[in-house]
Formats: sequence, structure tokens, C-alpha cells
Amino acid sequence: MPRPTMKPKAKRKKMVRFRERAKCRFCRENVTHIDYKDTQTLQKLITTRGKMLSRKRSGNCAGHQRKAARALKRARFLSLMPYIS
Amino acid sequence: MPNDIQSRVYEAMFLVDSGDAAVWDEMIKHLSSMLTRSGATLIGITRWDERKLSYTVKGRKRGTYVLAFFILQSGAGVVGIERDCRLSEKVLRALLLKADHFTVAGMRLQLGEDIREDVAQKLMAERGEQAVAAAAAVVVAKPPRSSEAAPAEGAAPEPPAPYERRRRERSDES
Repeated sequence: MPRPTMKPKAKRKKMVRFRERAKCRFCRENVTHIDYKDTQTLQKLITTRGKMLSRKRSGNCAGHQRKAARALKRARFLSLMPYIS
Repeated sequence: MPNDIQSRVYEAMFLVDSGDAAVWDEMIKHLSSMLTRSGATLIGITRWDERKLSYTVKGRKRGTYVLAFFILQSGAGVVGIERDCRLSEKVLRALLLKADHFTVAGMRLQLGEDIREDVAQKLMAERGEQAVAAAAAVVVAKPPRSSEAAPAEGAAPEPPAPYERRRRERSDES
């Protein structure tokens, strides 16, 4: 008795998805300087407690993270932003 | 020493008591004299904002911020201004920074009408800034967002950013 032949399984088409590397928010806008007076922008880079977000959470590149940190420290000195709240 | 003493543009932000700032002319006179005493040429001085402070400074919960741009021989005079700020009872905090990256148009945006036109024109001539190009310059801190900028009439719409295109494609698939 001939063995029943198995139907070959249809190969699942493998979807190749690639994720474009997300750019830093400042790189996208070609920002060269981060102003300490721009508290609206700096507000997005801190937690509710007033601590600065890490690069992982903010998505900033290393250069812009440094610039943002400097701007935030200047804003804190002038009491535009809180040290801790 | 070589003749490389070049003038630099500085930016100063003063935090003053709101009560003292109510007598505005006197406050401006006080701050201007503090700057000019050290040999600064004032480009402009303006009331930047009056707001609640993030934390109390010398017992004050509210304060007025005064922004000034000035030209100074590099290095010289900054120490004198900082010392005067510390000694002044009207100034609660002061921050002095180099502001060479600011174009005259950028300063104009921040200072508004309080810019001194004669000094600004002289600075523009020294730097070789074009009046038209300078007028088109944007504030460094606040670049215009693509969604905010209105496209000119007849101009072809800009292609969407890659991440935006992908998001649309995904939503079409589903």
C-alpha cells in the first residue's frame, strides 16, 4: 500500500521588517544650541520629580544630551526649572 | 602680545525682585551702569519675563528676569560685572554667557524693540551679516516645526518623513 504523501507545507513568507534608526529629537530639527531659556523643551526632558531623563528614555544623541544637561543646569541656577520637586 | 584682542558678544540674565522691577527705569539704569562700568557696549536690555520661581531665592517666590546683550573685550570686564552682581542688593541671581552664536536677528527676536539699532547695525557690518538673511534666521532654541510652517502657495507638498511614511503604510495594511 502506497504511503500517503504528505503535502509539502507552504512556506510562510518571512516578513523582513526593518526599523529605521530613530533620530534624536534635536538632530531631526538640526538644533545646534539648546537654550536654557527654552523651558518648554527642557520640561520634556525631565521627570515629574525634576530629574533629567536618561539618554535611553529621552532618545537624545550623546552630543545633544550633554547640551541639554548644560542648559538644564543653567535653567536650574536661575530658578527657571526645579532642582527637585 | 599679538593684536588678537577681539570683542565678544555676551548675554546676561538677571533675576531681580519684582517689587524693585516695578520702578523699571531705575532698574534699567542700575543694570546698565553695572555693565557699562566694566567697559561693555550695550546692544539691548529688556524685561524677559515675570514669573513664579521654581524655588525660593532669598525668600522671594516671584521674580523678574532681565535679559541683556552686550559687547565686551573678551575676558576683560566679565569678572568685574560678576562682582558687581554679587554686591548688588537688587540682583538676586545673574548668569553671564558668551553669545557669539546668536545672530543679530536672533538677538532682535529676544530683545524686541529694546535693541539699540546703531550698535546692532555696527555689529552686523562687522560680522558681514546680511540684513535679509538675518531676518530669515530663526531662534536657535525654537526651530519651526514642519507641522507649524505653512507651505507656500503652489509649492509641492513635502514628502513625509520616513517614520511617518512607515506608520501610514502599516495603518493601510491593517
